[in-house]
Amino acid sequence: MTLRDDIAAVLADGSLTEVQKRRAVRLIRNQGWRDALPALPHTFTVGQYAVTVLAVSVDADKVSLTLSATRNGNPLPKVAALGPWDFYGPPLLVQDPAGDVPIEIRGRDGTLVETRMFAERPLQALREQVVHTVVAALR
Amino acid sequence: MTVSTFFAGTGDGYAEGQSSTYATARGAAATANSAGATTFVGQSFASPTYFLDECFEMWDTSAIGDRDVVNAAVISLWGSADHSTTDFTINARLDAWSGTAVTGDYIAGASFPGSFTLLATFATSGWTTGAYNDFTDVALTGNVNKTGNTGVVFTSDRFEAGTAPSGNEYVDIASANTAGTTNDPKLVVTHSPLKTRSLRSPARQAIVRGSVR
Repeated sequence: MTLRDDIAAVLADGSLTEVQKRRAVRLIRNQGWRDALPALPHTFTVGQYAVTVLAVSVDADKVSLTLSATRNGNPLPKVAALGPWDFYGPPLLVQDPAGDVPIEIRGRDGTLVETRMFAERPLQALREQVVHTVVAALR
Repeated sequence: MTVSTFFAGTGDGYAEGQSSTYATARGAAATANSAGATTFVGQSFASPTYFLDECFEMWDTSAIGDRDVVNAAVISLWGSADHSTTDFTINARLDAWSGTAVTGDYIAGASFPGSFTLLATFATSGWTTGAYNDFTDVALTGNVNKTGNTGVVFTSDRFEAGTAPSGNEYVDIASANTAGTTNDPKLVVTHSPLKTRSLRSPARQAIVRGSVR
């Protein structure tokens, strides 16, 4: 059972209101990130950034990360100072030509332009999103 | 401080004016789509029809709360394709649109700027496909809704000015997905608790008690 299956089950549940469905989906996505993390601290590298997840917590709204980071080996003290880093309903899917989740890209006239493949990989999604968000926040 | 990242609601999409007369296409939408994986902003002309697109995104930023001050904010949109043979500037403007993109959300070009506050901009000469495009803040920081949704309409500056296209001048943007993809539209907000002054000194406490005359 994938997290996408869990989300599909929530969306198909006729006993839930739309607001309840949105909250339940958000919680699944939040928990997906937390459960994907290996033992902490967890360090990963994306490009010139090395990010360490020092702590993680989850509630109904968000997954909250405590981070430190370096760029080209140089500490980025602002990353720790700016935190915590909260993500509200973060993504679970990453683009991967070998993935099993097809998403159709259509032009404005509705014609199929291409089918892009995605894979459910919460940890990779976390890594990509955390680094982009750190870079965006440090601008 | 806290850095909060919000992902757009899945009702995002676009509304499109279509007509062989530019003024007509600029005045009202003929179609809208909130179900696709891609949304669009800009203009094009494919004889004999003008296609004019406004993109709509909404982020639930209510978790920030009234007691915080927003220090910075960045909108990031994932470039899905670039059809800006003629470059333009994408204007991100504050707009309390419906939340599920429909033709009624379309704003006539002549209505800009009106009351639609310019939040941020992006020049499509720098548009990147297969990556996030981070908008330049104009007044976004002061207009993030701390107690509700932050709704944004994205338009072309040439559409706003009423400059008819002779070819393609639009870009494709990845829209929000139910399971969430790493391409979803996002809003990164840096915020901190409002600082309040301490009333510890005897003189200040006396003023508060009303015993100073």
